[in-house]
Amino acid sequence: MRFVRDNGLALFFLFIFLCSAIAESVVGHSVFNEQQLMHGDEAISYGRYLLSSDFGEAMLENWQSEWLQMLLFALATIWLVQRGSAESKKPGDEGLQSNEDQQVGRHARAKAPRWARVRGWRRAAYENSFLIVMAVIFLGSWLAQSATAWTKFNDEQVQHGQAAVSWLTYLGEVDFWETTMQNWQSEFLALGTMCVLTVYLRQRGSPESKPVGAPHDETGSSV
Amino acid sequence: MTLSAVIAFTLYGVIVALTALGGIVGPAIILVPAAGLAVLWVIMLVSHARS
Repeated sequence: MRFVRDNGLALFFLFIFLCSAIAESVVGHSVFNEQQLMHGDEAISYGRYLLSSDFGEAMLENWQSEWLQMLLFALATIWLVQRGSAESKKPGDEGLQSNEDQQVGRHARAKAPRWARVRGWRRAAYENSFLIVMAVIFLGSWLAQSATAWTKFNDEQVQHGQAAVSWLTYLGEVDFWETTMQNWQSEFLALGTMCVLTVYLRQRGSPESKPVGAPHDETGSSV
Repeated sequence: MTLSAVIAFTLYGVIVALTALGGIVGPAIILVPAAGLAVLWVIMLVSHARS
């Protein structure tokens, strides 16, 4: 039970992710088969749908933008601040900060991760480990989205009696960039909104909010 | 510039460059969000140079 309590956030989001992904796949399978029948094609099994480019694209186009959102937020909050926001560093603290502030090298505490204590490439890699992993997942998801969307695009091209295109050609198609931008813009809007709303609004008990009684111009303080 | 900063600038630079490439080989309007992303890259560079 202690494991569950200590990992409640991760377990909850994993659970709700699986619930949503299952629901998406079931309704997606239903919609896909309806369209298949409308076009005079055969319906496919649920298992086959899970491996289809239709399902892959629907899932991956959202995934890539989520990783980009987190990556961009981590990067932007290094160099930019929002006075009064719970999501921002205090004005004047912009930048990578000193080794003392970041508790690395000789400033590392006894229980600090080993790569925070060393020098050279290992510490540089560890200092950027969040960014590196987010970037790899984002680029991988974006690449996979492009591959699944390309397959789906070519299926539609063939159905409409038009020539299939190469993957590189597809990367220049408006279809790919429309789905990409459709997801990016919503993520950027959500991030910007959160930065501003946490200046003036509160959520009692949440670390994503300042304490309820904190002044609007107090930056970066959370419960 | 430290190796740590080089990693951050390079990784983000790749994302900016790929988006800009989309505007070059694909619809030119994609250069607008690419320019938007590049603004942060420039801010990062200038701020780092100042500090």
